[in-house]
Amino acid sequence: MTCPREQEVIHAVRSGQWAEGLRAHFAECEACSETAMVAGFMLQAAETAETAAPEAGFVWWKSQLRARREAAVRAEKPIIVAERAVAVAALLVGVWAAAWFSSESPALAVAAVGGLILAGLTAGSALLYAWSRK
Amino acid sequence: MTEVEFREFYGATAKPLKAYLSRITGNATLADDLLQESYYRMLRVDLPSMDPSQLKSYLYRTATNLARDHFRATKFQPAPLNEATAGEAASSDIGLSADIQQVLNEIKPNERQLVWLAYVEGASHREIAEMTGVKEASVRPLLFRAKQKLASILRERGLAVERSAR
Ligand SMILES: [Zn+2]
Repeated sequence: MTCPREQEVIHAVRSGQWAEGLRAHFAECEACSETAMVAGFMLQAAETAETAAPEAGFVWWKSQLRARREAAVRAEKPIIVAERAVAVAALLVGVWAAAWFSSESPALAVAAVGGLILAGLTAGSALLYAWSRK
Repeated sequence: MTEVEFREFYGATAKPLKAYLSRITGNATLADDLLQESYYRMLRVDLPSMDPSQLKSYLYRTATNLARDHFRATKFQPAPLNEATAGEAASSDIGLSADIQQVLNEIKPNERQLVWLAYVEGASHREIAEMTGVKEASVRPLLFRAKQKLASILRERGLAVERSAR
């Protein structure tokens, strides 16, 4: 069962102010009396609820800090992607060069692979050093 | 939003939002986390200029979505009642607050949201639709069902609150 005056009843329960006509209607209307009962219960739930919230300044400061941290992470992402792309490209070029050298002369291939390992170790330690400083 | 504007808006909305989140989750600590996350998300997005009531709608919608995500992730288990749940209430009120939470825990989280927004916030069906993401046409039947459920629990438990016109 519903009643078109329920909204008025909710307002009256919340404000504690009942117009005479509404008071008379309320006494007769089952829907409105149920609405008032539930509204009264919910207001009591609100009055006894936990309302202690952190200070506004604290929430503002924490939000600013988090936004800056997330912006920094976003800014770092392209650098990390670029570093990985460079590493993959270097590896592909190295494999291609080793294959080419080995077709020319075995000695050249050994020198190329040795050079590659040395270059890889140097690049790897440089990257590790760069990451450790972040 | 500037810090001054934020402080003013926060001052007007934080306590009612905390009460809302505490009651719909039944857990004051979780309510605190959801509250801070809601304000953070509001500050993070570049909102078009809004009046305070639109901003409040946006905030409640964010908070409601976060609570809903939490319920989905945890398959909602009502939190055990403790002093933190009862909050700032005087010790004699803690039992009452716990009784109230037990009644609220008997209806679904989305029903708690609807009855809270309708009866505590005094929101219209359109505003409730905006705040919860429920279609406006669905608010009336959902709210009606939630109200009936709550009324029957209150009658069963003899907890009907006398706040009538008499
Ligand atoms: Zn009526």
